[in-house]
Amino acid sequence: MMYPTKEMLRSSLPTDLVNLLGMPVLLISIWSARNGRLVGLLLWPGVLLYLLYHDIVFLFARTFGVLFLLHLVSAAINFYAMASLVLSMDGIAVQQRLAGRVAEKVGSGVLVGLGVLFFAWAITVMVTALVTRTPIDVSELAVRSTDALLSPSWIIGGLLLWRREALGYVVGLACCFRPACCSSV
Amino acid sequence: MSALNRSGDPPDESDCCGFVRSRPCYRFAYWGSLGIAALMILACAIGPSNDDVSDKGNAA
Repeated sequence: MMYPTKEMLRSSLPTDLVNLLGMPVLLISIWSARNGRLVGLLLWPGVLLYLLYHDIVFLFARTFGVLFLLHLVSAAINFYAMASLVLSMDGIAVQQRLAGRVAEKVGSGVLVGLGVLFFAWAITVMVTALVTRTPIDVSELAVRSTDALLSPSWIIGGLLLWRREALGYVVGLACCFRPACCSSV
Repeated sequence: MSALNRSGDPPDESDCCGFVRSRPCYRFAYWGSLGIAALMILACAIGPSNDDVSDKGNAA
């Protein structure tokens, strides 16, 4: 049996699912970018954001241990790698390639809508718990706190894409990756 | 059509046909991403330790 106890199932399954989806997509996007495909280059920071999200959830939810340290290092590398990748891209060239060829308004509308929804949901859960003095499950609190931290990035990405800014084209697909996966993991 | 490379170098596949303008940042992201992939494998290999099995709520 893969998970001999319920505790191991509960603690390992989310990480294994993230790895199962995140690892191949990360490697495929790197490979695509290295082979000159723009879609791979634009998807790459999205996968990093997706993995960063799960690293932060893990850090909020768990006690200090070997895995905690591993996820802390991973989150730090992830953040700087993602920032470096976005900074390394020629936004004007990406904008020139994509302007008029992608549905900017639809993409930005979905991003802003989901960003507002997730942010409002997270704040509502926390405020409700405070007002009613109901304890929140640690895992639930970790997910909602991470949503409150990272969902504004979807809103900002969506607004940049709506205004057809160069940075909006660079981060638009990346921001879409996590909401697209939110129902899967 | 490939974008022009701002540094004047001919665009090649490794810098995504000219869409990358800063190679040092790109290289950092590349090696960092491979490092993350290695950490993910390590995390799976280690598995949950006794400390990691109980979450903060249970520990409290």
